[in-house]
Amino acid sequence: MPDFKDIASGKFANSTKKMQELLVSNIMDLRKQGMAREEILLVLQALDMEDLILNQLGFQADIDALMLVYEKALTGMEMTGTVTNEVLSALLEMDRATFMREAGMMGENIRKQVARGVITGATEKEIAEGILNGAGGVLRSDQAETLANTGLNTFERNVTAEMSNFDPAGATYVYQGVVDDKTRDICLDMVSAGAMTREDIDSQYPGAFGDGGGFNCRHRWARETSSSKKLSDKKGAQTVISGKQKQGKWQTPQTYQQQVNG
Amino acid sequence: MAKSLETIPQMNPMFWKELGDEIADKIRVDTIGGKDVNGRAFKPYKTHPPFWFSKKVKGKTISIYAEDYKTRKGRGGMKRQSSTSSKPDLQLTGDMMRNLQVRGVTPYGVTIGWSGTNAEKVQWNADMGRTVTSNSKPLSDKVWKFAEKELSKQMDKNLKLVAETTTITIG
Repeated sequence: MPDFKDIASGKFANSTKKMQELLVSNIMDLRKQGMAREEILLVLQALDMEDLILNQLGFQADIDALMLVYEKALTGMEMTGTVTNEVLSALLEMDRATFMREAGMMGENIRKQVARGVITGATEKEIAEGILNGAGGVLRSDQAETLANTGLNTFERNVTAEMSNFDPAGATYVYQGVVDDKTRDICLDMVSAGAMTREDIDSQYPGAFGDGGGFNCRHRWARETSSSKKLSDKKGAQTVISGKQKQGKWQTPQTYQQQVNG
Repeated sequence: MAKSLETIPQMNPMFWKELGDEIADKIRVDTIGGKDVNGRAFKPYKTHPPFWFSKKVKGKTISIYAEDYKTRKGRGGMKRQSSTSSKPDLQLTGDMMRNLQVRGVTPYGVTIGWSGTNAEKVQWNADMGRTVTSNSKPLSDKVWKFAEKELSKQMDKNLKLVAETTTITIG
């Protein structure tokens, strides 16, 4: 049975691709209208890319549709205690802002790529293909899909993190999830760390209580229970780490937040 | 003088949260281990020999090699795949079983379960004959016994908080 998050992420990826194609086609129409290279560059320079993408090309509606799926993720949750509507609204708005910012950045990168194409005399097809393949750092549709999927998973983790306010101050957590050849170094490191308090997690792995290991992560911090040893392969993670260390393939990994903040 | 029942402390929400986390993890362990709510192994995957079929995608006819789920899952390589078990463990990416969590806590109880489509997936699995929980049997006998034991221990603790010691002096 397909996951509604996969469907929503897939739709968002398709919308991103369509929007990019439409944007390039709109800009290249200027050439068809007989504008010279310099004129096209001047028009490009003056364009408000964020407004063009969000409002004129309707990408705002795609972000709104994705946010509706966020709300669906909450179905069945009992909002008691600290998980208030205000907290949920704040979490939703933060993610909405992320997608809007991403749309703006995408617009700037597309502007640069199209300008480069116009200068070098590339065809519309060549420029569009370059952009769709991620040239110049433009968000590819598969990256948009990952962004949407990860956003939804992180949102669920944040709601769960709110629930942890019912845990006593000294409660310990373990990092649950699979240890395999795809597991990131940061996730291996957190699995191998064993049980930790929330305070220790936040200081040693900043942001990881909510982000997990980052994009497409298959892990989560969970309260330590009598069954934790069966659900968190600490020894397995340690074995993989020491193997990597012997091969000289291990560097102290960083959390997603540490990477973003440099 | 004996104290009234009202003076016995209520269960702390923290106790319920902890119990909920314990129960959720026990269900996770049983499910990943391939056991349903009745303690029996999940119904095995249906299998079929691989075959080719044609499908029209965006006006183009493409040929697709169809293998059964058991084979595809066992080979690995699916997006975000977490389990390659060829025995049903209700895990592919692990998202569904990760989504089993404490959903609400009050002084009187705890609610655990799934949200959104993950809840629908659990129901879909039950409809396919692989039941993790149901209205008639929410927990396996083993997990139920564990919950009763923990509850009883906590009640004893609470009772001790209000129990009085009577000293009888003889002579």
